[in-house]
Formats: sequence, structure tokens, C-alpha cells
Amino acid sequence: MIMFDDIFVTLTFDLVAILIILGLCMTPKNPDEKNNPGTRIFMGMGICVIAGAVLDIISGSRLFGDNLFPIICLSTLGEITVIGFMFFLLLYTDYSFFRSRDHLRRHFAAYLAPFAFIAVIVIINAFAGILYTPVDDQVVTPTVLYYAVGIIEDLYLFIPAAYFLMCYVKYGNRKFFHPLSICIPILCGVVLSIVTPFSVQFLGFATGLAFLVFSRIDSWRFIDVKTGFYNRAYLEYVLKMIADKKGSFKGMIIADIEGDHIAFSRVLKEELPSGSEVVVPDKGRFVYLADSGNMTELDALASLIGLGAEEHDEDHPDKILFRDAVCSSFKDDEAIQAAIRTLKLRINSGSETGREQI
Amino acid sequence: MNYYGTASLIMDGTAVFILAGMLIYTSLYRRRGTIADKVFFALILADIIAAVSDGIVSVSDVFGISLGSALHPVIYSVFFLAIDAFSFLFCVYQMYRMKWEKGRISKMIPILCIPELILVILLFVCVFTGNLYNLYTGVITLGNISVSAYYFLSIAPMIICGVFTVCVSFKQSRQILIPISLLIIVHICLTVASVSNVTPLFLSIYLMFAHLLIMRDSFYGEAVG
Repeated sequence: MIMFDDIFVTLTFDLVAILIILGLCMTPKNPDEKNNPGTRIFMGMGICVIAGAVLDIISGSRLFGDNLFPIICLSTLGEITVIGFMFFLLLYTDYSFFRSRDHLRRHFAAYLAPFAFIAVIVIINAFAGILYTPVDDQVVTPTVLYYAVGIIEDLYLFIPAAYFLMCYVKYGNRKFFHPLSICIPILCGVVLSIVTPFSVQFLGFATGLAFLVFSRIDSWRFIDVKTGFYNRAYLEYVLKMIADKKGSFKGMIIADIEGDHIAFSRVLKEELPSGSEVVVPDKGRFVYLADSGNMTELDALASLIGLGAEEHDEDHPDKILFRDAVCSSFKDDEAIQAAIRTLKLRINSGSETGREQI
Repeated sequence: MNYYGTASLIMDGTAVFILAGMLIYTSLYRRRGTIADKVFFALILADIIAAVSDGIVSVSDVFGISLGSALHPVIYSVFFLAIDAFSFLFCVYQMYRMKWEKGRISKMIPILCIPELILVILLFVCVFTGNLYNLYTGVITLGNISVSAYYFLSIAPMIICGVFTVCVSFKQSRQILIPISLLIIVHICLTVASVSNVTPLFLSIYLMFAHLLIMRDSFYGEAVG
């Protein structure tokens, strides 16, 4: 049995995309990631790809013959899934680079507005034909609004790509998020869908998501499994980045403690802003990497951590002795070198956490 | 337009992209130097060879470039050899991942080699004599037997891979059993439907899931240790 038909080829691509996404969604997750917004956004992207591919398969199955209305409805839903994917991708990019729920909340409306606009327009079109008017059973005439929506859709595709590039230039691969490996298959899928008679976009999206999962799981090797913070291997990586003046870190707090370091990690999670980057190079030492280099703010935060540890001692039997905290700002080359020297001196005497080798 | 060739080319391109990504992400694991890691690296290389050789044939089909009567069967043979090597390496890899005893693995390897060797001999006979079956049409003509060589050669390693993948997936994670089983069924259906050559892409997806499981295991291994 041989089927040389573009519909069957598209069906093959869509089936492969669905299988890839199913596999990725069912891949076991790190327990810390279950309530992570990044995981939920990823699931949103996966659902968009599966829904889009299923709609593509239904459209290609010629179930509705020449009846135009269900075909327009299916194409409407298909467009919503593609734009929905781009919307979730934008959210994921934001969260991957800034790791802040507050930042995501602040920009959510701006990300949602074009998606909502296009969704409303294409839904109205399905009933009122404002984008294209059917001339007969097969031919449709596009209206001016159709081109306007097309431009917004294209921008939705290219704005995340430009945003990826901008963040990549500014922050590098700081969050183990490799934008190019994700963007290339997505863009290739869209371009191939335009230049060939097949719909390859969902396979491209699925491949992009596969790379996203690769990079996410790759970051696990930099996590200290007992505290959920980053380990010493990550600190070495970050120190190199600070020395090269890359990334957004402007200061740090080195906190020395005695006692239960897992209990102290819980104190830090309560006291520090959500999405803060903390490294545990050894059991008695925590390094908070700050996005601010203001020494007054860093000192205030260090005092707050000390108070948190004292309050914890009053409520819990597992004692923590907060010894001291050193704050450093990376304002110039000299300050950076001094901060790195101080940190290296302190961590050289600790018992290491995490792993340098797998 | 040559639908089969174009679709195969896109599939092969996707497979190479995924495999190249896996090579980058597994560089740290290769440094660990265990046999399983080396075999996994060999699996990626075998699939890349299969995808590239199939890609060359697809390019010649799409753009109407003749590869010549000598080169065409050789490239096909390389493709079949690569997927044979893949199936054999996959079995070896799964045995190491399942932590079988070395003696048991040593006994199993010669048994697994037999079908692979038969296929290799068939390919060599074909390339050098051209008598056994026609690689252009993919039809074996031996006495009264007429079997499609393409199906014969591609289904044998696929079944071996599939059975082992299901067994190991079931042992390692029941969660991933559903997509893997679906993948195998769809792979067989698409190969029979002959829409395009999906084998290199499907092999890369098997490897992708195996890769995700390795990374997960490595993380939990650290937590327990």
C-alpha cells in the first residue's frame, strides 16, 4: 500500500508530533518542579501542539466534504492553537530568564492582549466572515482585516524569537535555557509549512519542546537535591560568568551557619523573594546571588535572614546557629575580584554538596 | 512534486537535529566512560548515519540527481547496515541498563549477532552481485519467494528494538510505557503505509525517551546516594 499524498504526509508529521509531546508530558518530573509555573506553562504548550495536530488531522481527513463552515471552524481553532503555543512560549521565555512570578504577572496582560485580539477576530470570522468571504464552495476572498491579523500573527511568531535573542545576548545561557535550539526547529517548521504542501509546524513545535525538556533536565545536575538550591558545580559556573561580566548578578550574600542546613534552607525560602538564586557550596554555607548591587539593601536582607533563623529556633527543635553574613557588590572589576577571592577562601574549607561528576 | 522524497528529507533533517542535540546534551555522560554511555553514543552515531544516508537518497529523489548504479545500492546498504547496527546496539545497551551480569551479556551477544550477520551477508551479496534482490525496487527474488526487502530489513530490527524497549520501559517507568507502545504501533503502521521513510526519525525518538530516562535516573541516583 503506497500513499503519495500531501494529506497523508501531513498526517504522519502530526502523528509524530503528538507522540513526541505525549512522551515528553509523561516523562517523570523532578518533585520540586510539580508546582513550578514553568512546568504548567510547558503543559500548556504541549496541549496546544496536541490540539493543533488533532485539528490538522481532522481537517485533512476530508470528513466534511465541500461544506465550508466546519472547515472554517476547524481552521479557526487551528489558528488559535498556533497563537496559543506562541503565547505560552512567550510566558515560558519570561519565566526562564527572570524566574519571577511577579515579573510574569506584571507582563501577563501585555503578552495576552494580541492573543486575545486574534482569538476574538478569528472566532467572529467563523460566523460573520470578516476575514474572508466565501465566493463559492472552494474560493474565498480575503478582506483587509485578514491581512492585519496575519501581520499580528507573524509578529507573535517573530517577537518571541527577537525576545529570545535579546535575552540570550543579555544573559547568555544563565538559566540553562538554550534559545537557539528551541527557536530553530519552530521556525523551520513554520517555514517548511509555507514552502511545502505539508503542515510541518506541529512537528517543529514538538521538536522545539523536546529541546526545552533536554535543557530543563540538564539543569538538574546543578541542583542540590536535599535543599533544592544550586550546588557547588553551579557556583563555579556562575563565578566564571561574573568574572566575564555576563549575567544579571550585581551582588551576593555569603551566610555561614552551624546546625541543620536543610532547616536553614527552609528559612531562606521564606525570607527571600520567590525565584531567588541560592547556592549551597557546602553544608555550613549559603550564597545568595542578588540582582541588586545596593549594599544597604543587601545588608538589610542579611539581617532579615539572621532574624528568620532566630525565629525558626524558637519554634523548632532543630537548631540553627547563624554565625555571620558577608555582603558584596560587583560594582567594578576590583570589587568583583575581591568578592570572588572572599568566596573562594570561605568555600575551600567546606564539605562539598552536589556533584562535580554525575 | 516528489512527496515521498520531500517528506523523508524533512523527517531525516528532524532526526539529525534531535540527534545532534542529544550528542551535545550527553557530552558530560560520555566523560563518565561506562560501557552503557559508550554504547549510547554509538547508537546516536548509527542513527545519524542512517538518517544521513537516507537523506542523500531523498535529496537525489527530490532534485532528480542520479547517484549512479554503483553508488545507489551502496548508500542503501549503508542505511540498512546502520539500522541493523542500531538494533543490535540497542539490545546491548538495554542489557547494560538493566544491570545484567557480564556473563549473561556475553552469552546473549553472539545470539543477537546471528540475525544481524545474516542481514549483513545479504547486503554484501546484493551489493557485489546484484543477484539476490533489487535495492531499487526492494523486492527479493529467490526461487518462488518474493518478499519486499525493505520491509524484511526494516521490520526485523524494529521488532527487536520494540520488544526490548517495552520490557525496559515497563521495568524503569510504567508512565512512559504508553507513549513508547504508541510509538512502536505508529512506526509499524507508517512503515507499512509507506508515506515516507520514518525509521531514522522514530529511532531518534526512541533514543530521546531513553535519554530522558537516563537523565532522570542520574538525578535520583544522586539523591539516594
